[in-house]
Amino acid sequence: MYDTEVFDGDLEVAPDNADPRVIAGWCARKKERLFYNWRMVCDPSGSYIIDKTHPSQRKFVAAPAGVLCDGRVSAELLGTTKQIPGMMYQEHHAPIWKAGSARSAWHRIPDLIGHILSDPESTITPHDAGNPGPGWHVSGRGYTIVLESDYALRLLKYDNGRGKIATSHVIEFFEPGAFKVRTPKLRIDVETGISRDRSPTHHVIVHSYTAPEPAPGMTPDKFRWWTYADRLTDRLTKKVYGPGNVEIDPAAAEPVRPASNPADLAMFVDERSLEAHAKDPSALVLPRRKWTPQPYLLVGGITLIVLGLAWALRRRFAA
Amino acid sequence: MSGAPPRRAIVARVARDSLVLLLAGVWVWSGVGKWIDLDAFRETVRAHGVLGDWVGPFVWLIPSAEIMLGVAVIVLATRARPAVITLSASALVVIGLTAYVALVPSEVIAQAGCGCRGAIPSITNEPVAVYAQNAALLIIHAIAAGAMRYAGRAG
Repeated sequence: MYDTEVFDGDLEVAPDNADPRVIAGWCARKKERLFYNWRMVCDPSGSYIIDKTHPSQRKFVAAPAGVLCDGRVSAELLGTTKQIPGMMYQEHHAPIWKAGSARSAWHRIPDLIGHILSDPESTITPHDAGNPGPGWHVSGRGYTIVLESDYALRLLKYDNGRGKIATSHVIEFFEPGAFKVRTPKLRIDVETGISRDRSPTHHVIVHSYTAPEPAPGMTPDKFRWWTYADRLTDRLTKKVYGPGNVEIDPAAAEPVRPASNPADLAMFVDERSLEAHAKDPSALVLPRRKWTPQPYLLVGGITLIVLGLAWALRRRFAA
Repeated sequence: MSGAPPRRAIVARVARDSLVLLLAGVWVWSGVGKWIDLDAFRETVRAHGVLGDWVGPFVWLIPSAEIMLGVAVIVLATRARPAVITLSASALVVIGLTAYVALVPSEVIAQAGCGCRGAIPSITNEPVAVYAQNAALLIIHAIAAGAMRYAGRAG
């Protein structure tokens, strides 16, 4: 389980020059808003799931909404629907893939590095300030990415050239434990820009993580991605895989409609929240509510009792 | 209006009592709905991200205050001054809760709901629906105040 806290406000120090720990301390004092409460579970082989299901929704959903990664495959999960195709990365992408996801939980980084390196003017150079050893410095298309020697992602910076600069900086990592690679412990995102009234703006987001915990009873032989997603799509070959990593015909891989499985019907998600999630992955996917009379009867009954008592009290006062 | 016909006085009392019962019902229903699933209400308020460390006290205070307000609206409805004070307090709470909702980003309301009725799901999570509902409540407050005044003067 880890928390992400969001802070907005003016910084007392210039973010580019400040010690990130100073910013973190400032944020701790300015504690304003608790935004998300994400959970990360993993199995001993190094696979993990970032569960983005909102805590208030967890009791409704059978599978987490979020990102599933096992070092080779990645799938966007949408709670109970299991209808959104995931993504699969080929083996030769593994080093970058690890850099982006398994070691940093920033699962979109491999695509981003590919995008940067497709620019002829991009550069990739070694840097010797890495930990535990020399790492790499990827630059281009306004992005700067700093990787550690073990492919852990240390820094991601984007300058749009129009005054807006966004920086994500991992300050501290967890050493391998339940999860066999380093994962972020403290990450600070700083975004600077110019507001409409031309005054400088600074937004700081502090992500503080707790150490990944093994999922109870989870062993490598029990870990199955198809527990959480119905199918995965290889982005490069467009091949579609089903449970058991079996390649299946894309035409036959139409998602199972919930209506064809009455057992899942109650778990079908709210369509509007699904649309919102498609636009913004951080949006919650809400389950379609199945109407049951119990809460209405309970609340209605207690309400009537309270109102009756109040009415009796009123008559007594009036007498 | 001491010279009002008895029939009009009866109508005024019935209107007053109906509106009072409606308002009290809304408050008690909302309070009980939150109480029976306090954890869900807490998570919803936490997701709103407005209160920070005050979420804990707020989660206890609001449903309790709503139930007490509902009871007070009924009990004190027949006494002119306390009734006005109670109705005013009730309307102020509605305004306060509306202001709270205005502080929550609309996309968060759309996703997590307003938490207005706790365990009882809302028909829609659109923020505009919350504002419309609270505006209607304020109008009912005004009509109830008028009915109370008329019924009081009619004896």
